[in-house]
Amino acid sequence: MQRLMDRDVLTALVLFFFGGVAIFAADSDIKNWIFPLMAAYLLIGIAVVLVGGVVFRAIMKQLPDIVRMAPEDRVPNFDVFVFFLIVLAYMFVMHGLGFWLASFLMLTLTSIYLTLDKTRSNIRLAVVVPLASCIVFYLVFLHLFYVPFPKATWWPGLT
Amino acid sequence: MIEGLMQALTPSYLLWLTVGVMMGMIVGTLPGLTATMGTALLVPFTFALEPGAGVAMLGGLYVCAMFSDAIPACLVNTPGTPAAMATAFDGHPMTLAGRGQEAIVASCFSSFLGTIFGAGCYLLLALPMITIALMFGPAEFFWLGIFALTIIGSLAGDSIMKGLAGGAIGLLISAVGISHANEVARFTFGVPELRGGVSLVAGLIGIFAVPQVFSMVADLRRKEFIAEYNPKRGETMKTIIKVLAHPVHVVRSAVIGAFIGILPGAGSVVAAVVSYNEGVRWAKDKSQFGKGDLRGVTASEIANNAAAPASMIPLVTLGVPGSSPAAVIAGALMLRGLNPGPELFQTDGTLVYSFGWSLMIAGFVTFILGSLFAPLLVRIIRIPLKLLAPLIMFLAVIGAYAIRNNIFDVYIMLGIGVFVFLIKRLGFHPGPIGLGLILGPIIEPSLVQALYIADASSIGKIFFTGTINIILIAFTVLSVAFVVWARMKERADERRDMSVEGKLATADETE
Repeated sequence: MQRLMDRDVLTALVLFFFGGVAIFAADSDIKNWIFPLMAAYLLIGIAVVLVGGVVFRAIMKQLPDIVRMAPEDRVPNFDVFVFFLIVLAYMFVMHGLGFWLASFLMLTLTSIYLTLDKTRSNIRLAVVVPLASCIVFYLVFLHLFYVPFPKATWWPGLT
Repeated sequence: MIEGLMQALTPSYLLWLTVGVMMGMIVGTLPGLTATMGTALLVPFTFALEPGAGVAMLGGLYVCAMFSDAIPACLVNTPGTPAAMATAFDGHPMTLAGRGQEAIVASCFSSFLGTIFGAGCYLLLALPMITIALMFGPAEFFWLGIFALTIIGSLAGDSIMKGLAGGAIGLLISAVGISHANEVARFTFGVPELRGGVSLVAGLIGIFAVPQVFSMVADLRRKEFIAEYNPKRGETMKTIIKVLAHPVHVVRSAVIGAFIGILPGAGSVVAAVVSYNEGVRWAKDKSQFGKGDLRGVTASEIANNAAAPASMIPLVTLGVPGSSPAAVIAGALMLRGLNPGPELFQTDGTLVYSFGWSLMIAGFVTFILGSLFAPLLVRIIRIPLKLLAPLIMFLAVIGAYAIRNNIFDVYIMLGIGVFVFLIKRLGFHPGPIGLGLILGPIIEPSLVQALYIADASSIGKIFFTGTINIILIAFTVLSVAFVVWARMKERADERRDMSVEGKLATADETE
């Protein structure tokens, strides 16, 4: 059972998934599908070779290469997860609050979360740097490169 | 030609060229803003200038963006434009090893060398080079793309299988959207936004920048900065000497860059990738490539900058732009009533030559500005990770959005980023995935076009005959054979080292 967490088994599962989706989505028109099908069959072929290697190692009683999370990696991984959640929330509130306000909030929240030593001056820095960045990039992208970023829909008029 | 030089050296031309170079510095440094976008944005400003000064400004932007895209690639592993993908392979490990300034200066000097070579080809060799480039049809482009894919052997890391799989995943991602043959929607799963395909820039930001940001967050409790900041006096001269210590490597990279630059559609991205691959193949000591070898940075930067002026050769000789920024420059000329092509040589030869000289001067200006600002730019790595990680994520979002003004590209970028971050733990390297994504749009249309041509004759005749096809197939086979041989040799060496260590340990125990 432990061998199911072998790095090559997990890789093969990912490859079977991608290859399978591509093969099932294809239709009979060869010119439309020859290119993705070539890539998909390559993925399936590699997945078969990887599974073959795992089976061979199991027969030869070699140790599997298990994917594990070391105890010291738990806290950093939690940090990544929280950071990801804030970024994900940012993607959704961007439509409501508008690009720049949502960006400022994302930058400030993530900077404060990632500031381990939460002293008053560090917190101030975690607010000032995002604010300054937002102002600089607002001027560069909106007034120099004319990029129309999403506007607020919850409070129309807010950029 | 001399008249063109004199025109390029007039103060107003030099002033607008420098403005273009400075804009190129901004455009290249910010991920998501490409040289094409920058030149397109500057076109309206050229209306107020003389045509020669206008195109000099656009050319300056293009040349400089091909250097400045190396800055984020080296410092934060995020290519400023797709052409700097191969620069990041060694540039970022150099930064991690405290050699960020060396990486930037090497990029700058290499870009200078590449630009001088490319512009030299433009001025002197345009006609003979275009004769060879015209022999490239769809089948030849297909084989060129396949040959470029063999770089996976150098990028795959520990497992060549996972490298190949990464390349295939990249190719599959590039196949999302409307097909090239009969305009059939592929892998869109009913999502209309996917019909336009995955934006190359958003995809590359997702592959390189997002996992990098997550890694920074994960490392936050272990280190405060990306890397140590070791400013050194005299670093510029030392780095220039180091770059020039490999003259054959420099010339090879420049020739590859200039030649691929001439091929319409191939451009700086393919030039950098092929040049990196050849740099690895011909190096005596390959062990440091991917871990911070200066030659990796120079191979990529010389080639992508040589390709920039070279991509103007088909524009001025045939009227066919060799790259997207060249197409924008063609548009700028046409808006002024000047038709790029052989006619332009006859009607306004001075403009054609002054443009070539301007590109060369842009190389000098870029080098001067780049060397001056390199120590300043490297200070980015002194920004604490707690502030830098959110800022890079913010820039990644802007970059993914700005290229098509489409928020869906941001979701795609984040999705691809999370996926790559997770599969890195399974032993995948982001390089092959990025390579597949870049080469897919070059390989597939060529393959489909060649298949249509083959309908009228035969697949064998189209794909397996012709001097260039045979040469490219031979190179591809040799390249694959070389990778297999190098891997086998590496494993044999490892086994021999282990057995020697085992014997030594046994001998120690007996004593």
